[in-house]
Amino acid sequence: MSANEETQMTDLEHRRPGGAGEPGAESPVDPDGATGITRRRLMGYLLAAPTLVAAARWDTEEATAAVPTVQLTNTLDLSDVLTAAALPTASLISVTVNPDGTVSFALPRAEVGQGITTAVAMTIADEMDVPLDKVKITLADARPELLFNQFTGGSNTMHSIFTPVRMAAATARGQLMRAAADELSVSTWDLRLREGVFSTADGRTATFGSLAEKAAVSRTVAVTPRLKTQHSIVGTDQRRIDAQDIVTGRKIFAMDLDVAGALPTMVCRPPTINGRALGVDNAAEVLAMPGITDVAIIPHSQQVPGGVAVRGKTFGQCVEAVRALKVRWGGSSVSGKSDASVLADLRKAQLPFTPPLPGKTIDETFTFHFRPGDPLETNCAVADVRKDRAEIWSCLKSPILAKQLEVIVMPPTTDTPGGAGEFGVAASMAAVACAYGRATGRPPTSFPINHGGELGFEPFATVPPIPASPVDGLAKAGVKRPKKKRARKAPSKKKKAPSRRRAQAKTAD
Amino acid sequence: MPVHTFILNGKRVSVDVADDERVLWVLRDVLGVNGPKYGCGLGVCQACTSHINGKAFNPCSVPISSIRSSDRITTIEGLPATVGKPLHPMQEAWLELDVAQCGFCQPGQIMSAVALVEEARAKRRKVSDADLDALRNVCRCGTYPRVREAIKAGEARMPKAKRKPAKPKAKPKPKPKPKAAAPKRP
Repeated sequence: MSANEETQMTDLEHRRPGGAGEPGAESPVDPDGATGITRRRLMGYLLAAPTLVAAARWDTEEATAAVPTVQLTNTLDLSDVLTAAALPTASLISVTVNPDGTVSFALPRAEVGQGITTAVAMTIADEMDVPLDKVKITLADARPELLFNQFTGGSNTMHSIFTPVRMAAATARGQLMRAAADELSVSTWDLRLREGVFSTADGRTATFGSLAEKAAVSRTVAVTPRLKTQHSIVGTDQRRIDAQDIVTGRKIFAMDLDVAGALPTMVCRPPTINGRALGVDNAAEVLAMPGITDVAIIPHSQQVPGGVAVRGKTFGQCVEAVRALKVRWGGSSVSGKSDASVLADLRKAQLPFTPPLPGKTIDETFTFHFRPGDPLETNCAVADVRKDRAEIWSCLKSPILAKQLEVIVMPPTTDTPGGAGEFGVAASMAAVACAYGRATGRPPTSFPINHGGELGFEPFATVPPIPASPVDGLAKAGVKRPKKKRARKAPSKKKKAPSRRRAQAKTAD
Repeated sequence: MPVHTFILNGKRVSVDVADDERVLWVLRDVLGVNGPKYGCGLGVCQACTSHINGKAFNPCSVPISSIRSSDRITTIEGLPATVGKPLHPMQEAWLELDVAQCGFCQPGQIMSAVALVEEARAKRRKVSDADLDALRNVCRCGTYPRVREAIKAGEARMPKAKRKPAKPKAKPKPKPKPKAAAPKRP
């Protein structure tokens, strides 16, 4: 790799980054070709820290605006809008070089199977000439200061984050190279960088790890790094960086989190849209069921899909308790309506089509019923709600939205779980978990039952809230169990069995 | 509550839970074994698929009272130990073909795959396309084509030496079948 790094450094302690007259701002990198975004210049920053931390910043013409004014003529699609919205806070994401030689980056997005952690790791490995397995990607805690830069959606992550991540990585690489040149008493021109190791012509070496602290700065400094012109890893076929954890069952999803004091919790959701729980007729009875510790009404609102929550020692106990609940429901916004009546209303509201055009026309009507898309993972959030704060553990694609939904998201969380099947966990789940926490003073694992309910849609038909788990799993698996032996180990069934026989005998008589 | 005991991933465990508690909750909520995933709790999605005495089963659909003290339950966590390696050959195939996306269903997919190969081997044949068609593990990401490829790759990698000790157990099973089939012939 080229050892030449054209950099300029500026003391920024008392100045605004990217300000007028700053050397860094005068010689900006303009990677227009990569993003198609114009009128913006990208700066690198070295941040004051014990070890090397590098960041990037888009220096915009309207640099002080929290949200840039995006001219529609400059935007092509949703992704461009999202990318533009993420620009003002791109400086707040940074690459850290650790003394153990690894490079870490906390991705402010939700990994729900898209592979963005792998893609970002590849981007950093490529830009820094460090082995891919030395790049450690974690998912960032909720960071309200990132504004629109912590929203996962619109297939936009790599679009919006690729260049800022490259800039941060290139800034780190440049600083490491300067530190290596100093350490090895050579010019940066005389250094070669390969696999995270700088080497001189006479065979002396310095590793990223050995330089991590030496390359750190005590005052935030602006630099203008040079991005690599040729990719070595980006564009190549790489395996997911979380594949090993996945195939061994070690990947953590929200429901796998072990948060002290948290117990399985389920919400019995209303059988109708916007239905609200008015009361529970048998709360005491349900509370007395095995393992159940709490029964609480969660008030329904536009943001919080309410219902009646039960908390137990196992999800099995919660299932039984939810099934046993006798809830008085009211307040549905679709009282008296059905799928058929809604369809009839839609047909009435349909605008007449234009008169048939000359030639052959085909006139057919197709009805597509709404089908919410759900992940395979059961929606789950763990909330620890206290008087003055709350902490949420979940895989949220819009943690800022979660905050708007009356959820207070407080870093730091230690385990940000991955999510499943594209959707992550709906922000409203965090809201439900918080509402439950407020209602009971407990830190629960929240698990709303109706798939799709979290999106605000529920079936019209009144259905049992949740079916019981089957008991015929062994028979289905082809495992044979003699009845006698089974009866010995299930005394409760043994008792029931004779009564059934008696009942049968009676009917036979 | 009654104490239930069984062999989990090679180690004997005892749990004090109600008879009707499904095995999945015993594994996840009582024993903290999170490899088997909770997708539906109804025996449909197969995300919790594990092995009982080498056969694939859904712990969400089996009451703990049905489990005997001699039963060997294996979850994804205990799968590599069944071949005495850091990774089971099926897991290696999974890595090689980069099967997973979000990963939620994958432990169940792998457990189903291993059981499928063992089942086919017990019948002295290879996994067929029809066998693969019969798999019911749901994947929301749609990794099915790679799952199918990986099962065949994993089958090729699974040690044949390990089959031999399993065969004597498997052999008596095919034998009764001809007996059962024999009355049909006349």
